[in-house]
Amino acid sequence: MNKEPLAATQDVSRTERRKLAAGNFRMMILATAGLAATAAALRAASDDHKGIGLFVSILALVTALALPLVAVANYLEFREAGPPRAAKFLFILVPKIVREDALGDLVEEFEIVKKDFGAPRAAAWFWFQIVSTIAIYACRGLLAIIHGPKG
Amino acid sequence: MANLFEKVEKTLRALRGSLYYVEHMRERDDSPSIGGFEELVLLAVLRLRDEAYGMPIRQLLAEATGKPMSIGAVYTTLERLKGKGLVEDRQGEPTKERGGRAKRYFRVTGAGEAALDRARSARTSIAGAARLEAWA
Repeated sequence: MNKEPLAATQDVSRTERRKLAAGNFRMMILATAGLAATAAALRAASDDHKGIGLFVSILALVTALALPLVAVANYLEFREAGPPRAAKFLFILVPKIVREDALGDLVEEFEIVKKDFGAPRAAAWFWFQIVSTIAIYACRGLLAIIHGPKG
Repeated sequence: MANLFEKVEKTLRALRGSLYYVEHMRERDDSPSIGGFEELVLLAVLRLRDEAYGMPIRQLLAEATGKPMSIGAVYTTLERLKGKGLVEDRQGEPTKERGGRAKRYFRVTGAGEAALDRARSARTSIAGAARLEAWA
């Protein structure tokens, strides 16, 4: 079994995950800075400039609250971009000899199905493929136990 | 005495006949037979030629049968055919659209083509017999 494909897969997903994590980390820093600015603006505002202080604090607060939402949206988009990760994880139940080849085929076809029918239907199709494949290999394993390896 | 010779000759003939039968049966057993779905998979691999890997094979079978086809069904059949020596596989290069995974290409062997021929001739002869019966 060639080990290269699995390593390459891990590299691709690791790079994507790192990029997402770096982007989200930057947003969290900005959000924290926004919260700090809110507190500072509220504290520093004297009675004469209370209006400006309030405006700055509201602006900072909105930024601080919006950035985590953007981070969550980014994460969800990242998750939706590819096939369902839980389904891919479940594929470890399939024998190693066909796992990578079959998963590669499914990932390739997932993009075609997504382009034609949209992400939700592509995800459903992917789940069907994963579950049916696991069921087939489970039945095969069961038959092998009952009748012996050749049965 | 002549009677004895006749008996020996008869026994030898019977022995030769049974030996031929055993040998013939052994020959028949050595050539692997294929089921209906295996035949479809072999034909799909033959038709796709250099592009015969999991995804197009699955798509072609799903289109031809008009039924949802699982990639697991295709791979279990291909593994079985490989075990019988009817197909052989080779690993391709990893590609980005497959998440860095390599394609596994399949090719029908000479034994595979022979098995397809046998299956086709069996089907034709049975279909011919059925037609004759229907006309009678």
